[in-house]
Amino acid sequence: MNSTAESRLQELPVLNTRLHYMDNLRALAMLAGVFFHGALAYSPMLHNVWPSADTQQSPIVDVIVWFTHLFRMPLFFIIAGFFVAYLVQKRGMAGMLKNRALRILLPLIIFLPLCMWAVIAPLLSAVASVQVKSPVLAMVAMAMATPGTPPPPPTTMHLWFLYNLVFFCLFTWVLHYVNWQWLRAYFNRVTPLTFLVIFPLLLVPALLSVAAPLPAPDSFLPQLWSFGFFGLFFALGYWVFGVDNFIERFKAYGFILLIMSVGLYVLFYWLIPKHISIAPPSLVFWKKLIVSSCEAYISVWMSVVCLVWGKIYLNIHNRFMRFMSDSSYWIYIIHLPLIFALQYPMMDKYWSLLAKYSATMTVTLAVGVLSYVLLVRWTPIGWMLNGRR
Amino acid sequence: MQNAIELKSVSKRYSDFYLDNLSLQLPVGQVMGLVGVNGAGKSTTLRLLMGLIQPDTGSVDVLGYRLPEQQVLAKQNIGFASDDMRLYKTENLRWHMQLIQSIFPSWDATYAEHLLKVFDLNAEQKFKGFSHGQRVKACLLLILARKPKLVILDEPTTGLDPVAREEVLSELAEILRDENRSVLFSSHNTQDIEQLSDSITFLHKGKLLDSQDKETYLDRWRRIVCTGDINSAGLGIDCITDIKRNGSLNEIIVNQYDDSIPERLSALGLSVSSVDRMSLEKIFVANVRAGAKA
Amino acid sequence: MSHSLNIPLIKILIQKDWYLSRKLLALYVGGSIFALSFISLGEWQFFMGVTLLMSMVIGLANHLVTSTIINERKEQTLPFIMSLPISPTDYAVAKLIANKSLFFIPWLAILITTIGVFTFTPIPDGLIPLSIIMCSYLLLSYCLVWAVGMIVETEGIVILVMVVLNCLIGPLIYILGSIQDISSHFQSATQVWNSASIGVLLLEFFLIIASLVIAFYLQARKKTFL
Repeated sequence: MNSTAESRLQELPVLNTRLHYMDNLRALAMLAGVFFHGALAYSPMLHNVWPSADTQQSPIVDVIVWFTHLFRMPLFFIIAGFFVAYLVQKRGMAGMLKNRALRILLPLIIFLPLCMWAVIAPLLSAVASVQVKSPVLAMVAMAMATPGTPPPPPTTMHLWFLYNLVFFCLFTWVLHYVNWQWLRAYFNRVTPLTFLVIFPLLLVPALLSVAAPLPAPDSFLPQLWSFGFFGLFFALGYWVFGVDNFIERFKAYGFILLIMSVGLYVLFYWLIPKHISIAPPSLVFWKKLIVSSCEAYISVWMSVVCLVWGKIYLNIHNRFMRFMSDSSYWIYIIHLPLIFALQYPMMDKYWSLLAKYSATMTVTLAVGVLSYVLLVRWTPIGWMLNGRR
Repeated sequence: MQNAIELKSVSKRYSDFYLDNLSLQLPVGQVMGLVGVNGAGKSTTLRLLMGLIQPDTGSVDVLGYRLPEQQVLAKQNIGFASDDMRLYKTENLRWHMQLIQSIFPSWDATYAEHLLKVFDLNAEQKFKGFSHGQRVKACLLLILARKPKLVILDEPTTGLDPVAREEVLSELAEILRDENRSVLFSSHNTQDIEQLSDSITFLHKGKLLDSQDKETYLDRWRRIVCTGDINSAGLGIDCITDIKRNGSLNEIIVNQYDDSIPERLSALGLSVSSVDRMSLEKIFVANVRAGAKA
Repeated sequence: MSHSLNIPLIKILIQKDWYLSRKLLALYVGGSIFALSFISLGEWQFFMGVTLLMSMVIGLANHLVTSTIINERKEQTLPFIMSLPISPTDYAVAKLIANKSLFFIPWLAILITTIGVFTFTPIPDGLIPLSIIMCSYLLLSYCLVWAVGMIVETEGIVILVMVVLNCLIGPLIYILGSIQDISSHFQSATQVWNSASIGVLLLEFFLIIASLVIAFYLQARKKTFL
């Protein structure tokens, strides 16, 4: 790492070497994911593919969730890349790999089978008990009634980000043998405008190869497009760590980037299909190109907006924020089975969308926080997820 | 323990070489120079002493351990370097130093840093860019800094420029001050052996020609210049290894000189004009030529 | 050799080989992930990905033997290693563990992936025995190349053995295909293990063990190690 990274290290607070706004942004990105998955039951767009899809729907849900969907995980991967660069700087490549194996690989190995079971068990019980079945539940019911139907391939579910991070950390090791001096030099002097125009273009090929809105790369077989999209955000975060005041350079652009992103999102939303089935509908090429470009630009621009405003407004350290950033990982791991388990029984209830959604979120977060305090924070699970305090 | 090295009637046959019934002792604290032309058996002898070759007959004991069976114990305290030894070219000297340090508790880090300075080596440089001289010095550094009881060096000064050679020799002389450390080194360069060693061992075509302490050995050899007709004289002196004639001028080399020899030559009608001590180099050449005639 | 193994030094030598092979390993790990990411893209990409993955495993295996055993002799670092307090048997054990561990992890990953792909995709599970036999063949090839490398330490002969063993992959698939007891189950929905397929697998494992035993026996009997 070059001298700028070293100066960055010295910039860190001496007593507590955490970059609070990064921690807090990461926690927000994770919690946003909880709200995102909770809302999908009421999305008209996903009605055909989401297991707990409810009869209560609103297009407003789609408008909001798909906007956040475009930059929530990109932001997360920028932060992940940033911290990996920090770890490499602090503990060396081997130390980073060791640390990430403990924080990412081990939780993945432990919690993925548990989460799978926790998702499948309520699903099977819902197939039997829910009266107003969603299309997915109906399909599962039919498949179960027809002997010889092959089971669907297992996926990494909502823990795909851990699975992908494992590969990104390996790539960090593999690629550090390559001499990146020229790229680093370019990166150090790139102007904010050039960056905002050029970098999203690099993401377009990956986005062109998948449906819109971009799906989750949750297959056990690593997905090339995920490397070309989330991988590049991870790489961006890695580089950002080594560049002085990278985020500050974009301070002046925060508001305008938000406006432009919203503008692009209107175009994006207008072009994408309003209903998705198991085999997603294909778009004609020019439409697809516009949609993918919108996705690319919104994801980069909004991530930058989050970083800029996060550094201004979220660089705070208090007990609440610390608790939130520590607990978010655990809450994220367990939220999806919880949400499904809560939403299946509600599918037969004639409550309003808002009532169902608030009930889901309140109980999910309450269970998440309580279980974190009781089972995780002071136990080896907490040591594994957040390190020993 | 009396002898650091003890070879008893060791022989080893290869298709094109035969090490013939070699017996050799190196007392503790002594420096022995091993002299011989290429193919004399120097490297084979040194490899026997590292347990890398199993002898056909005879026994090899080093530092009290039987080789090759106990080579692991013996090699704890042997530092070995040969001119065909290379280090990992993709790594730097520092990495090698750390490797050796992790193996030998006896590693002296301060001394290693001292040697880095004396040998003018850059520990952070990869071996790929090392010159021959730097390579030799690096190998020596790795051996010497672990302070072994026995140092075995195969051609340590071959191919070195005069400056590097001087650096190596003076550092070798430095470590030889330790009375418990024994050294066996082979060389083409008789000057080095003359400068450093306590005893000299001559090998030729797999046979031991001589093994003796240096002073006695050098004292045995003389070059005698005399005039007169040798052929008719019939010398009757059996320690003569070589005679060169140029007209009536004769150069006689003897390997068991005593003061009676000039008198005996005079008695035979030859006029002795000079009796000179010989350098090891001259002795080496004479010895090899005598070996070739034999 | 009559002494016990010098375990601490063997550990250091293994770590040394791992460390020296790090770039090689990074190259093949990167290549393998790339190959894996290709597999799910489509039909021809599946075959390309699988072929690339196989090439990565074979390439890594052969590259490791060349770089850690042959090059040690060719580039004359062997005298340096043998000047350390180890015996030829220690050296062979260190090389065995260093090489096999570097190879075994990616090999196992590929074996598990292959079985997983067959189990969870519409591809008939009847192909699983063939796949396991072929994966074991890769392991066997590697053990043979390693054994030859340890015994002869000559680059030319090792390359010859590598080429011959890789050339045998095609004929082996052909022979397995012509064994009725094995090939008749390729299209079945479940995997079928019978005496023929188990026999081939056992033969492979016997040869793996035999190659290692012979390599160690000859190593311990070598009269001239350098």
